[in-house]
Amino acid sequence: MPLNESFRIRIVSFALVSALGLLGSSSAHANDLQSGDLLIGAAVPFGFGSLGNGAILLVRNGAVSVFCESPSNGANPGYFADPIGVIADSAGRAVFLAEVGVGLPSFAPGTALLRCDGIGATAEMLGYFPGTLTLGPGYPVVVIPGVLSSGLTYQSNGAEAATASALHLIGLHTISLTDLFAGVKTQDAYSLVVNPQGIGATSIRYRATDQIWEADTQVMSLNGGIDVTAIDAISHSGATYSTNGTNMEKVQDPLTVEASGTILGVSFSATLNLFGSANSFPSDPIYGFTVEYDLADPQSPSGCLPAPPLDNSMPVNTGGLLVPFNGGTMGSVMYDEFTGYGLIITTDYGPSQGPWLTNISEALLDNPGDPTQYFQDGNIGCLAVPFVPVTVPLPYFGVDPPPTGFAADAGASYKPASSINGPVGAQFSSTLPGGTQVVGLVTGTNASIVVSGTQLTNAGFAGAHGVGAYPNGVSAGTGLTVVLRVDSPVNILITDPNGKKLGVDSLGNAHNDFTGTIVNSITGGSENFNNGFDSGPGEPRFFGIKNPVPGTYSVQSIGTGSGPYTVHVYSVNLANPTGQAISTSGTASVGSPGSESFTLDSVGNIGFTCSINVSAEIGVIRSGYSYSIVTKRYAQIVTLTNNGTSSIAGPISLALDDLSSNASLFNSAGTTACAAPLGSPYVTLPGPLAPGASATVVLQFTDPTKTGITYTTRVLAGGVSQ
Amino acid sequence: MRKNMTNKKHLLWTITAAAALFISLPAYVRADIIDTVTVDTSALPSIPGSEIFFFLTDGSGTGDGNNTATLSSFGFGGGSAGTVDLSNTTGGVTGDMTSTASLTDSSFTNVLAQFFTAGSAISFNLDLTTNVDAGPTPDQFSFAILDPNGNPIPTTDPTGDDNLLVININSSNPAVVSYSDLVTVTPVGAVATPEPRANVFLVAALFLLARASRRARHQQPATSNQLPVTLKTLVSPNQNSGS
Repeated sequence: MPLNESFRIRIVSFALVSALGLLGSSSAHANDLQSGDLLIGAAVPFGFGSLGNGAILLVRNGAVSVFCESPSNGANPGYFADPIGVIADSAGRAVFLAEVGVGLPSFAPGTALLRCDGIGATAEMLGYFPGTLTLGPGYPVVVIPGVLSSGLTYQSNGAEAATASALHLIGLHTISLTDLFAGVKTQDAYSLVVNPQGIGATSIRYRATDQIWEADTQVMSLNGGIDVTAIDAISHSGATYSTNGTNMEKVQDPLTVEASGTILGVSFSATLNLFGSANSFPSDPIYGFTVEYDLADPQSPSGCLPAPPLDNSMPVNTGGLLVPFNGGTMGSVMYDEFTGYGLIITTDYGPSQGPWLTNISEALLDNPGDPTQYFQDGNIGCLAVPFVPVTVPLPYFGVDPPPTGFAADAGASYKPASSINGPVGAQFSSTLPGGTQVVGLVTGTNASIVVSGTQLTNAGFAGAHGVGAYPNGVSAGTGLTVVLRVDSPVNILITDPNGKKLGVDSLGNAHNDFTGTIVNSITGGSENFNNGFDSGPGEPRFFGIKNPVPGTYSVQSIGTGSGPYTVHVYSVNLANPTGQAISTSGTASVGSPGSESFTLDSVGNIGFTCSINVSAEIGVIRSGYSYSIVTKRYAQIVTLTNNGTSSIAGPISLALDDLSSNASLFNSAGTTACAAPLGSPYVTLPGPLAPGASATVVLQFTDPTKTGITYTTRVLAGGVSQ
Repeated sequence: MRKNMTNKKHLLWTITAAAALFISLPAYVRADIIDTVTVDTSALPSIPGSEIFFFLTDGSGTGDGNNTATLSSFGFGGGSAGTVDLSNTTGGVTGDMTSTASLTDSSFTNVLAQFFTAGSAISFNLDLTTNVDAGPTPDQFSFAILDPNGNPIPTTDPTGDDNLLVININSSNPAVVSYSDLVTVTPVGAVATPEPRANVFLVAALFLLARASRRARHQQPATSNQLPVTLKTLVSPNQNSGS
């Protein structure tokens, strides 16, 4: 008998936790924003075209008012200059980046992340990123262990004097796991990119409820230079889209898991980041950059032989002239959450090379090797060339009237926003009153003016840069995640319903079929995927599967030492968001096999698999009852013999059906709750049982009446739940 | 001649009927286990208070009373029998270790508990009937000994009950399993003891044979050795050994 596993204790708990119920809001203020409101970052004109202190303006039903405003004294720690990025969070607060400390003994004092909690509120400085020197006190330098230290200074492009960029809102899901509980915390996080000296562009975020800074999904690095404003990013449905000005990347956001619990009386806590994979647009094999194909432009035969699924037609012109961002600038990135434009970038493709909004296909971001997104280029020997379909650009300039609108650039400082009425963006024009206006963006040649320059100047402000919309509409990640936690001493190997494996096999070899790279043999493009997680050796050890397919998951454990072990299975449904937790325990020895298989349905319900009745293959021989004068209990030895022709995997359970009511099974491992008939006490043998082999188990009965004990036997095997 | 043929047929029928009865006898005959059991008790203190427990449990759970353990010829190796522990004695029990004790599975649990003063060894003859219960669980005979402190003499009994000897009556010749080197079991032999019901059949068979024999002698004298030969073939030697 290879096992000394004695019996299993099953603890099953179901935890359904509403994220709102779990967290609530960290702020007690009332939400001053209404659906459809816009927030505009602007500043007080300082004279000679210069701008003074900044402000957040509220645009409601076409009327402009002040949401919150900086003190005018640049030495005041509450001072901020014209905001360079504005978002409205889910609680109706204005969150923005702005230079601070202007006028203090430094020309480039740095940038801060600030937040106004309501109309008329004083801006709260959530974090500060010093430029050439560090201001203080009152300037909270952001420190993230292992990411940002306290002595850092941050680079800027000088002109903008901005040391941070790419501000965007995240609907952050954080999974909480304990011994018996799985839940989801949902909160806002404010994500941005900073460029610390000697480190490079670094993505960080501020958890609004937890009030902590931490590393965020890393966006694209700078493509040369130090202008962090060349980077922009947006969050949508659990993914981060980012651009560094020349290419674009889509990253499936890692899922943060905060785990805590107790193992053999010792408490632990751990923060894990599961999954996360990045794909970017593949490059043309000759030109070295991505070819974009405006769906409105004609195609011509490529001259190549048909090679399905590759298209044998091709764009009339490639090489950069007709493409919206080849060799040019990709500016801001936006995801239209309300009116169906989807993924949008600002580019300098368009008449007069002004910035336009362009809707682009995500197909190549999801699978850069997808042959349906390639054509044969007759100009370069019919090589497979990836192309990114784009739709008709949205007018971001050329508004008529007024015909004078002309955006300064496509940079992220003019980042548009997704509002319930469609995309909106700030527009610069030297001929406009105050130089800027805010326009609404729809397909066509003209953009509607949402806030005119005159309105802004009449309110006492100018220089509109960032635009935020309420509600923000940012969508959080959805889908299921399964996490297994192993409290040693066992290794486990998980096999999903499709045969994909994750974990460690009986030979000690690690498997992770859920993570890797698939190279398409036709296109040569490769897709990175990372849907499996293994925290590696250590206790506890965690495994995770993203978007697991429903069905039965085989979990086979192998003892790596002697002692008790527990396997926890958690499922988390981010769409609800809810979680469930189950666990099973046993005692292992080196090499001892076990089974912790479970089932998962499409909404995240989990349960250990039911054992199967194998009574037909097992001979059961009972001894007579002996009686202990010491314990006052009856004992009986039962011998199980495998009369079949194949081995029966453990654990093997002997259930006593119809046990006479005068007696109870003292050493019961539980009662059947999965394999009918239910409620029968059972004992468990470790197994396996080879053909012809026998195993014995001692039954201990209490029977105060000292009258006859009767029952019928049922032998269960496989699965976890009896 | 025709009458002789009729008598011969009658004799054959009678003998066949008797044979059939005898052939059926084994199913109705118990085969007792008779052993002399000795337990080395020299490690026990030679003071009153040690206690021996004889158990006979009924596998059917109904108290069918189909098996009996008869314990006799007790010896204590210099020690002596004490009083019966009435608080732990229960079920179908008669007698005690001062003479002969008997346990019958007329209840599910049948226990004779009796104190003794240990000497060098305790010995007794065990005569156990071996009628197999219907159903999956056999009757079981066992015994255990507690020292004067109430601690059992430890054994290798896998149940943890520290039985010194266990017999599961799962066949007419069940295994006698000892769980301690302190126990010596000396078989006296297994004997066929006609059950009362079997005796009825035997008497009936003998009556039929005698009647047939008389009729045969009256009609046509039989050869002198026909009947004895027949009887010899129907009664095995060990069945004749009796108890």
